[in-house]
Amino acid sequence: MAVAKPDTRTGAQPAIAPEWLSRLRSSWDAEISPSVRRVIAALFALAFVLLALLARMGTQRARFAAAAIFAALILGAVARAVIVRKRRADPRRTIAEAVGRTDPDLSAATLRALSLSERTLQDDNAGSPALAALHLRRLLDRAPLDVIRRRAASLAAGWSVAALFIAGAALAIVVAEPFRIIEGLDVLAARNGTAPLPLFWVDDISMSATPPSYLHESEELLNPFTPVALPRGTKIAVRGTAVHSGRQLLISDGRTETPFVGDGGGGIVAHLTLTENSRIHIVAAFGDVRIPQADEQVITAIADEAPKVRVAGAPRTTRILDEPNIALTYEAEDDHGLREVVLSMRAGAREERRILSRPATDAKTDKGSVQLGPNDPFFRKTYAPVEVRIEARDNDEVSGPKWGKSEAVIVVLPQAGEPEALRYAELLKARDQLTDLLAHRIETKFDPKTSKDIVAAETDAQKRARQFTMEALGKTFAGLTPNGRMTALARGQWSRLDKSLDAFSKAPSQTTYDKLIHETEDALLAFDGGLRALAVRDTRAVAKRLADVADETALAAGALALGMDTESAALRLDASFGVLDSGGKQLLKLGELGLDLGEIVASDLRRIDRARKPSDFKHAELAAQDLAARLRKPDASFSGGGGGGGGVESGGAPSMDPSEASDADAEQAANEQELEDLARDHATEMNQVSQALDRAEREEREAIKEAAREHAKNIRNAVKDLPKQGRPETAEAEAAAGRQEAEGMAGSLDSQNLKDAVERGKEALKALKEAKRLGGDSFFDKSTGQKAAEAAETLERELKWAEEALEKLRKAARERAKEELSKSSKNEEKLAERARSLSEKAHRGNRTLDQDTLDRLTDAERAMREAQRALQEGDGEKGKKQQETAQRALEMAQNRKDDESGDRSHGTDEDPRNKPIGGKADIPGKDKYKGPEAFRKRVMDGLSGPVDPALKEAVKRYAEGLLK
Amino acid sequence: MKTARLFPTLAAFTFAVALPSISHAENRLPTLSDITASLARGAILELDLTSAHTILDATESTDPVIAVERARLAVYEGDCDRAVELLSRADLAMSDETRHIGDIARGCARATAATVTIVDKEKGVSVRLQDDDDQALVPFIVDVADKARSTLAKDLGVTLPSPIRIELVRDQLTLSAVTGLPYEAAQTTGTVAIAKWGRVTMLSPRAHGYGWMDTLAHELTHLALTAGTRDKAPLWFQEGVAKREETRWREAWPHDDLPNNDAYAAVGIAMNLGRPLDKLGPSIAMLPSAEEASVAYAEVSSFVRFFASELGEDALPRMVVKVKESPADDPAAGALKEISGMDLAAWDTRWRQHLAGVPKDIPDELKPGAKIPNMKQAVKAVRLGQLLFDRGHPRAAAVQHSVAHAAVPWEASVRCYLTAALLAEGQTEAAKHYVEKPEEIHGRNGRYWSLHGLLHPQSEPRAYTLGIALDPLTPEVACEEKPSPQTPADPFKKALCEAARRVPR
Repeated sequence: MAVAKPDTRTGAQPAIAPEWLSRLRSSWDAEISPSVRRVIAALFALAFVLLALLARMGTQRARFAAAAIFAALILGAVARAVIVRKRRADPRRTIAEAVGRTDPDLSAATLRALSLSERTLQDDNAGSPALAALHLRRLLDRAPLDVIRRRAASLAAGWSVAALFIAGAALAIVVAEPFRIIEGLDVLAARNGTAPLPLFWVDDISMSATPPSYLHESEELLNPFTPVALPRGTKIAVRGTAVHSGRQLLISDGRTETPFVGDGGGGIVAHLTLTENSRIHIVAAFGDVRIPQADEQVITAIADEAPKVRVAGAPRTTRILDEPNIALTYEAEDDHGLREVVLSMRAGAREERRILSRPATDAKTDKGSVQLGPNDPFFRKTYAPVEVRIEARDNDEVSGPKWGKSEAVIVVLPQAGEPEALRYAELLKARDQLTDLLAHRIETKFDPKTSKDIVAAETDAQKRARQFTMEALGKTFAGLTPNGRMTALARGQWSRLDKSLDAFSKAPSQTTYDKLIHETEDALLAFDGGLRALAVRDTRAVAKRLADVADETALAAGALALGMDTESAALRLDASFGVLDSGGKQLLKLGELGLDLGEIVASDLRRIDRARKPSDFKHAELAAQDLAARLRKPDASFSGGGGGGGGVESGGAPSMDPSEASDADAEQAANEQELEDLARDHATEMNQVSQALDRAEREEREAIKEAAREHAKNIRNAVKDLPKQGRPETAEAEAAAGRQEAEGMAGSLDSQNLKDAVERGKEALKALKEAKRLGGDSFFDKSTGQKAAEAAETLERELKWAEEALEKLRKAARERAKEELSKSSKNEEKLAERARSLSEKAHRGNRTLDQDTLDRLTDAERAMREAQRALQEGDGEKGKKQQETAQRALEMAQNRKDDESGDRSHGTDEDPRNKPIGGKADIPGKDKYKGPEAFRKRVMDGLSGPVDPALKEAVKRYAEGLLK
Repeated sequence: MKTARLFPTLAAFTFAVALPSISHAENRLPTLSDITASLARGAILELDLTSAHTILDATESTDPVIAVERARLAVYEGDCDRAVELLSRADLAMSDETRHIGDIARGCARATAATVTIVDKEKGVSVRLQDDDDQALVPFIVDVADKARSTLAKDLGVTLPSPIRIELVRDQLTLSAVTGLPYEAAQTTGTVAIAKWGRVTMLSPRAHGYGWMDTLAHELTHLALTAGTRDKAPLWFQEGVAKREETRWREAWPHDDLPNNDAYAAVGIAMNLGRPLDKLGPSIAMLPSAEEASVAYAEVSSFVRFFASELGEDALPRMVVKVKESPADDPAAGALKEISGMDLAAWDTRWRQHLAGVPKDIPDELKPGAKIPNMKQAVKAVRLGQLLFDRGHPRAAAVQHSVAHAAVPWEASVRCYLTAALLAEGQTEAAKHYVEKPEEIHGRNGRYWSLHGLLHPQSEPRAYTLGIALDPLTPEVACEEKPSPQTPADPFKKALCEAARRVPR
């Protein structure tokens, strides 16, 4: 600033003294500045109001624009201040503004003098600085300060008026809607979509909560803005009055917003569904910005928990061989309700779910037990460990049903063929006992002097060996029950040995001892023969199961060869390879054929492995197919040609084949077949007799048709006033039972079924008499008792008629069926002969049967002969009854435990028992062989009525079967 | 070069044999593919696989007849995968023959997948093992094959080409699958080996102890005859010569002619079990019973022996050549007449006259379909003895085996059981008696020879070898009755002993 700074070069003073210049500026500014500031202030106020309204729109753009404009205004004000300050320091500007507006000539002269003065300060040749300064001072002194002040005052008045107008406009806007300005400013200051200053939007607030419908709970009024816990899914209704109209009011939990709507009564209402813990606010929406109300409703959402399932003892791992029947006792519970409880089983990629229960309406707990046995269908063809759990599903309709799982019970299944191998090993031990017994007898020298000791020792040794054998035969292995034929064979042989020992004990001598040795030899050979045959059957069954596994191996290897589903196929290949490996090892334990096939399995697995290791899956597939084909033909590797060792290419001399040492197995099979044939033929004959009697009776029944209907009508009339139901142990209940039976009797008479009519009539009479007795004891029941007594009288008469008619009918039917019964009598005699013949054969050698079976056969024969006599005499009823007794005895003689029931995978179609023994076999027609059906009918009759002592055993067995 | 060298032969074959047969068979003019296929087939049947390759490789034809011959060649070379691939062409008309080759190729591909093949290049023998644990048998197989090749070259004038392909399969099912022999037939007659498709396929003695070395020589004879006659030799000639040659690769062993074939054939014919020589069917292995098969073998053996003795040692090589060269429908008949001046019927008459004069004093138990009176009793006693012995009661076992021995004193296996029981009882001197005189037994039994070798080491120095020739994978036989872990000194026998001990029991 040339004006203010002294010239350091010359030491001269500035052209204009600062104080003079300041005085000149002050004269001007003293008038103007206040008015200008007023205008600026008014402008700012107006801009502020307008910008607030702009920001209130709430959109991002509007808020940005408002903020930008406001910032621009601030910047403008600052810039103006800087400019004004700068202008004040400029003497030329000050002279021009202050002097120039009142005296332009003076102003121009002053500015020229100023220029000259400045030039003299810088240029010595321009003249004397002192003279120039003096000239300038004189010109300045001529400036009219009063005029300047007046002029400034005039201008200032104009500015003040403008300021007043602007301020008035701003005030008018504010006064019109002052809350909008606050809202606008609040919106403008919002961060993250939420305004910093809560405002009051809704008054008279009330709240209610409606839990989800599946909880079956009623609506609840809430204390507004007091923390509360509610089930997830609860619908919350918020009601109130809007404080400011025209605002978009919402209820928000921070995640979702629901608008308030008019409730039709001047208020507003909004609904919100609770999904999780929430802080609920009422908010007003301005574009993207929400201005909350200060009140906050804190709600804790109570989650619907997944059901909890406990299984006793879980988690645990169990082997089915150690625990053949796995009981899973479970308890499932849920906080709100259970829908379903299932048993879940998983093994590798296989999964199965079985519904255990569907609890009654939203029961919160469910208890139960389920038993898994070795023959469970899921365990078939599965050799991998099975993960068993109980799972329960709840009734959550809000977030969807949830499953709760118990801890797992891992069931380790036996390897393929392991139960068979274990059974075989156990039976081998039994055979060893018998072998030891024989060795002992062969090596014992009989001495008459010590015969008592020998008898005692032999008895003791035989008893021990027998006990061991029977124990071995009684064991089950993973559901594989003792082999029926083997058991029958062993029992028969022990029975035979017992008789021989008995003979020796009674008369100890070299002869009886030799006989005992001989019998022991035969018994051992028979047992050995049966065991070898069993091993062959088991080997074949196991081999066929392994063939399926080999197929799976081939499929997996084939998939890998084609590059399909490689991960899954590799897993399947490994798994099936492992099963084959372990199954092959079990085969090795199953006698000669098992050794043969087991060795082949091992060899072929080495082939598969040799191919798969270098990823030659095509050849692995072929090798597995080869193994499967071999296992599907589970024959010995070599057969035929007489088995000689010296043959070349084919043929050979006869040799010592151990399998020819005993044909006990085949003879036992023959026993079974003969017994089965006899039972079947006898059932057919029994059916013939029954049909003959039915036919004869049917013709007789036609004759009494009309009379029977009349009597049926009488019975219905007699009981029509009796009650149809009543409380237990009251006359009404008994009368109702009597009525029901009586009506049944009437129905039977309508169809001329006199036998049934008599039986039901007796039951009806019994009930009516009981109703009469009970009716006498009770005042209220008296009327019923009387009615029952009257009905009983009628019924008694009708029953008598029915009994007489039945007797007549039977007599007439007997006469009519006489010829057919006579024919059946002869057939029955032949069947009795067959039973006797079978019994005789079963007393000998390898066909020996145990005493129980022999007794049954004897019973059957006896009953058949009785039946034959009765039928010969034309007594069809008696004959039929005896036939039934005989049939029961035959079926009980047939009774055997079927080892194949324990087969985890397949029935043994190789079992010769399933095939005819030789030659052609008659296949009974569908209507001919009624054995099983008739048996079932008899047992059902036995179960439904009073138990005939003769049926007791059958009823018991049938009931046991039902339970199983 | 090869094609040029082959040309004159092949051309001659074509005009002499192939063309007439093709044109006759299909009643049309043969195409170039037909001729090529026919030439290739002739070479294959002669086991000249190199020439067959040359012929087939020289053509780029994709004609089905060429494809079939390529597949046949692959089967003969043991490349069953390739054969399957060649026959998987959709356009191949499935004639019976094509289907048959396809079945064989598939069965072979399955049975031989990932198996082990051991090749002895020096001796020109390739052995494929279905069960790799049979490797210990390979040195013995190679030795037999090598000796048999030399013998056959001398006896028949046919040298088997290298490599001789031998496949050792695990069971009759596989034997059936890779050869085409019906499984049921194999089971009925107890077939253990088949020579077909340019190789010998035989059952591993692991499955069943039998005279496997002689069987191999027998089957190699079939291969030689097939190659030497271009598969035109009739069954009686094939089997008769094979029976003759099965023991000629080695020096004579005891029981080689037990029972005597002449006597056996005569007895069999007298029992109506015999068949005319030219009515033996497609294979002796397919005869309805083992008895008939054994009589048929005796018949053809006896006949060929008679034929050779009548005409001299060079009769057989001459016969082979003549059969091969004969263009007639029945080449053997023509060849027979050409060599001897007599047809088969005349020879048959002469031979039957010869049989009428031979002694027929073979033991009853060796007669065809013999029913041994005491066999059931013996079998029972043997089984009881086995059970008692295995349970550790050798004395009681010896009692039972003695009973069996009394019933069937000529049965070698019973003598073995009895000897073993007595040895376990410490009665070595008593035991010696039962395995002392081979002439007392009727039949061949490996264990007999190992026990004989143990108890009478001076009597028959080849005893252990005889045992191995009959039952190589029974530990006592293979290990020369040495207790484990002792093994024979010979490394091959040591390996065999160890393999035998590995067999699960």
